[in-house]
Amino acid sequence: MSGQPNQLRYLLKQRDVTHERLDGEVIAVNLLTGRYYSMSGTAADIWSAILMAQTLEGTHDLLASTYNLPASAPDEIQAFLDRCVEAELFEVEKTVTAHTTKQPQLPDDFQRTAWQTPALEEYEDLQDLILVDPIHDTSALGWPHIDEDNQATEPR
Amino acid sequence: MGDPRIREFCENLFDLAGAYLARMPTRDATIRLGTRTVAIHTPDLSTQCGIDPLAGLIHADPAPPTSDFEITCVDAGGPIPLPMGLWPSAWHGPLGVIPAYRTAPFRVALDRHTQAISVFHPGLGRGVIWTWDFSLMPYWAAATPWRLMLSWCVDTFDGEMIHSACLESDGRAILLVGRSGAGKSTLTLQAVEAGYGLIGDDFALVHDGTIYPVYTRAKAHDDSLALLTEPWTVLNPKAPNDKRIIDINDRVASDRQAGTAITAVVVPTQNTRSELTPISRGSAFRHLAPYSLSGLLGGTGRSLLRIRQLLAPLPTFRLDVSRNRDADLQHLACAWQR
Repeated sequence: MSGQPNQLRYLLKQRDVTHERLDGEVIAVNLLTGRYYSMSGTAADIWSAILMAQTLEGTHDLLASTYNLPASAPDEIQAFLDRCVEAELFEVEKTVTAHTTKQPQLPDDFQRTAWQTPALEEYEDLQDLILVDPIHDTSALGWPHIDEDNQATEPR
Repeated sequence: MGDPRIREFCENLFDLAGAYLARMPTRDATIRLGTRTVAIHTPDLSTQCGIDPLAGLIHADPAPPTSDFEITCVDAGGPIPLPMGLWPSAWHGPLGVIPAYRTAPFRVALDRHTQAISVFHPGLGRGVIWTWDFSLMPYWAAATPWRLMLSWCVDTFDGEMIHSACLESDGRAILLVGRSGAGKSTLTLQAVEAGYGLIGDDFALVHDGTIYPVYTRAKAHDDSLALLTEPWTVLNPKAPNDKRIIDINDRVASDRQAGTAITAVVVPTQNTRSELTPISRGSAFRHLAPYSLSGLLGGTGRSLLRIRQLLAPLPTFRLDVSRNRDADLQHLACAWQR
């Protein structure tokens, strides 16, 4: 894979996002927004591919080595990545040199079927619990005085 | 090595904690953390709800002459002022934890739930929790104190604190995981009444596929308590609109402290009929990991990996619970048999 001028590079927001993959399913937690995400099958593979390849072109190539991609795949991959950026899981930068990983290979951790439209499932039920910013949600007195309009939520 | 400003702050904090211990009356206790022990020094204060946080942990009795970890808890209402940390607030992650590379060799976090600064030195196994006002610690923090600090302790030996209710039968443990309100505690307490062994109802320690109790408290709403048949000791019976905190100390058998091999993971879900259904490990992962991480201010860099490793060899199920006690327990029992 060769680099192209001004192609987009997708970088995981490592400071705010923690993620792991198990049996073809990925869970990603955005500690900044309090939302967490689940993706399985094709979506999990796009996630793993973009982490390795970082570019749309590289991701497409990696997926093509595993799936028989339909004509709609590029648009579906792009839409999925746009959704990941919207969810503040990735940030995008322009680059002239593409990142390459030696012999990238998707994890062989589940029985793959045909390509399916990828879905990023979003969950918000942790939002109140996770969004407990001790620095920025304080009153004028500073930490640990909590802004009265923003009381701490009971954790489990 | 991390930022020198943070390192100097942490070293000062450790020195001040030592001075606090020398000048203020404190209580000493040694608790169990799996096969390790933790010496805790804490102010002799109760919380606003009158619940003793120290009593909610499993104590080592008799206490060993030396402990693997030492935690000093300091109340800012004492005579020693808290040193100021002069580093950018932007360094704190969204949940208050500063990334380890900035704080090395320490771990540092501001925990808004307990209004405390937590500092831990993994190499020394020593930690300091500087609470703003121990007497104002909310009831839920009183029920599960110092969770973050304990998670840093267990991180040093590749253990993980997970948010799970845990039951035992025939020497094998089942984890009940998922969001609050899904029925974990109700099902757990009902199962105990039916004869199952109790390991815990809140955060527990997992290490090498084995689960260890950490807390001796359970939490349940009044409508859940109404479904139980035996008298349980409620520590906050009059608190309005709160979850009840239940003392389960005498229900956690001492032999569970040696650890119990985990045999399956069950995700309870409210439904109209009882049923046990296999689910993917990924799905169970989604029901366990976020809730564990949220209670640990995001966990450590290895938290998700350890939870994945925990689940990888285990069968995972969804248990539809219908509040038909006998049917629910009958299907739960199947999780041990599959």
